[in-house]
Amino acid sequence: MSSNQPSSSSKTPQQADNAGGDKQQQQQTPAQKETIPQLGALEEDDEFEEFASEEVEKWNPLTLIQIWSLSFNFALDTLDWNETEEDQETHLWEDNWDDEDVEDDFSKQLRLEITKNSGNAPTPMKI
Amino acid sequence: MNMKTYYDSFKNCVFNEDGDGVKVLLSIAAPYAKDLTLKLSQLNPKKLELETHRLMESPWDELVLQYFKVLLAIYKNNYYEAYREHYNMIVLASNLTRWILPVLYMICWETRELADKADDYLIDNDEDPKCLEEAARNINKGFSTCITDRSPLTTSRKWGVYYMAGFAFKTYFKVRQRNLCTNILRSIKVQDLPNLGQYPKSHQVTFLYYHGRLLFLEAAYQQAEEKFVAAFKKCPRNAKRNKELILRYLIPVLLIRGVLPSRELLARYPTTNELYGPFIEAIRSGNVKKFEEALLQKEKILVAYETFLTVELAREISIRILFKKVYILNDRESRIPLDKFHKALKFVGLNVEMTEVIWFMAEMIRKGFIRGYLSYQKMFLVLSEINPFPPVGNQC
Repeated sequence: MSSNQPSSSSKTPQQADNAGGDKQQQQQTPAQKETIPQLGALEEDDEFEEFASEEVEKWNPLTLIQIWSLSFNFALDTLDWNETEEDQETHLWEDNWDDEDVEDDFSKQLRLEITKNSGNAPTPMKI
Repeated sequence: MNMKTYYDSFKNCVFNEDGDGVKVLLSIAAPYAKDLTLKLSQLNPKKLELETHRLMESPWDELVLQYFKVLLAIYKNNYYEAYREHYNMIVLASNLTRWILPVLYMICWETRELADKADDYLIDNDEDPKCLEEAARNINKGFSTCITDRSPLTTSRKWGVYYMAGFAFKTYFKVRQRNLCTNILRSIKVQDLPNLGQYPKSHQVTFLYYHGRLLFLEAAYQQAEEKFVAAFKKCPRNAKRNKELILRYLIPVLLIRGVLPSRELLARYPTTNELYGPFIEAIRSGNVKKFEEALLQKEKILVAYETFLTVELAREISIRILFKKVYILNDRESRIPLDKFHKALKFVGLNVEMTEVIWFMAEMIRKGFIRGYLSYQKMFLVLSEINPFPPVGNQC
């Protein structure tokens, strides 16, 4: 996997100097992608978000801590980890989706194209 | 809050092994922190140190003093110094038992935040921003102290392994040193750990996501798919942003083996739908031209997400449907002149030579997308009488 990785840090002094300037040149990753266009802002927001903690319920309600923590983001658990798993309730993935519909415009045009006589088409095989 | 309350609360939390309590008391983001900083700034540093050593036991005294120094540095608005003072806290918090884990997680998070700010400071002063990279190494040390903990499992820091691994991955991705993630995967592989399923789901999901990303980079698509599917299942639905991030990588690996997300699923995740919807429609209808247009239009963003090459591979699935349409439009005859496929490809804008048509066809036969054989002599495709176009999703 290492061949895809640029070796430098995501921030360099040069980049900060001409932010938005020739970032494109500096952020090239050699192997997998030939050009990496303006990554900057994009990748900053692209990190997998921290989940609110699951182990918070057990705090002692008598300590001061709780009062301090009311507005403290680590302590607020808004996620429901016990909900039913998503794909049990609905149909999420289709592995047998081939439709045989050839009535759409695209197919109609396709029919015209492939039936055009190109002049030197081979004659059907006789078996 | 006065100093006495602070020390008392701290000792109380330590006595009760209340990690979440200690966590708040050592966080720079705690609501009382500003108030406490003001008090600290008025105290004599020497006295403060003596007082802390007198009131707190080791290693808490060191940890608390370090924390005070961080707060004071932030008070002076010097984030570089704040980071330098914070640097030790991971190590100080690493050598305790399991209950300290929430504190360790919080410290790692804040170290990274401070390192980021410290790097901004260094950049402003024309210096090399090295703090975040250093923080990554330090977080990795935190991971190591968890995974090598030999105390009995019930109280072992081994319960912090997957959170710390996930957080280290996150940081290595951020500093573009993803190659270092392999070391972490390797030590997880050789250590005797509880099953991943026994860890908190939040730890599992983050770990699975990044493990999937690493496999995806190696083009180990099948293994990557397993990780992403598991992560997607376990990630709560209201963590929408994370769900969409998983789909960003899961959908391409499914597309290339002919599995499509349902319209229902796409409707639920509008960002994903906007990103991949056009490709999915193009695949469904065999409209390779639309597929190419979508590739052109989305190239930049897909390259940035590192999914471009993978999505591009799905073109083949679209071509398969195009070929199937040729078969249907040709009255489902089992012998079809290759010329017709050539025309179909030209029609969708692929100006290829006949040799390439043959290559496409041979590839599809090899992969089992089409059942039949090529007759070079007559330039015909001869299809199997039974099920000449088996559903692709079942192939791999």
